[in-house]
Amino acid sequence: MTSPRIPEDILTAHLAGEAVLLHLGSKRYYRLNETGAAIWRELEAQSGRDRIVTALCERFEVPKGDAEASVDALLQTLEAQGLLEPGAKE
Amino acid sequence: MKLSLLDRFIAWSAALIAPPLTGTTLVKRVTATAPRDASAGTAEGGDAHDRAAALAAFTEQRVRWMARMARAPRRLGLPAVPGWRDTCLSRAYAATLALRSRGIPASLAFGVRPDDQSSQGVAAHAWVILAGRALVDRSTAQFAELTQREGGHATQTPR
Repeated sequence: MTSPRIPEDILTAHLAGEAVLLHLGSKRYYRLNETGAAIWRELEAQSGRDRIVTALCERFEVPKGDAEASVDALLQTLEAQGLLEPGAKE
Repeated sequence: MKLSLLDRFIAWSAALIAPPLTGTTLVKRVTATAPRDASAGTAEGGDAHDRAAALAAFTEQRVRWMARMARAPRRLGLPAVPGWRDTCLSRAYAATLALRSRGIPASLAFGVRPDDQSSQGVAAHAWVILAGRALVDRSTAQFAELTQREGGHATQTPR
């Protein structure tokens, strides 16, 4: 399974405790909270879903189930907004 | 720094053409997509940079003029001419076009900072960069620059 890809027309700014995304196509801004920003950083490093979950567990000391739920929810939202291209499943 | 007649002509043309196009995807073509690379472009300082800054400033001033002219019909109770608005993006886009048409590899940069009063939750800004530095605008330091992911984690170059 390949990791999800960030399209080229998404620009990111990392601020203190959050991240802001700009979709150049739609000219819309999206704000990610601290968790979202952490997930986005992993996405920028081209991590797959499972690596992101592991990273979240380590960083925020949450149970794996919770981390999985938030990662899946965010990935789904990002894909729905065109901020992410889903990785190919094999 | 004295601008040549051609520079002035190009600045006027850019101020005429760029503002109505700021809503289009053409803007993407001159946007700096990679994190700032200070080594790219022309040498810093020196005459080349001064001239670029002068041309950019002149162009941005022309955009202000165009916007003022576009607003003139309001005095007669008519609507303003749409398209020539004086925004940071229309100024920076015009300046970038002017510089690029003179062979100077300037780019547009976008930045944001949190702003809870704004409807989108962020205050956004656009400006021109050349060789990693903002050309005209001095208020850019408050904004975190928006960059594409390639090139690692650094989003700001301390300078």
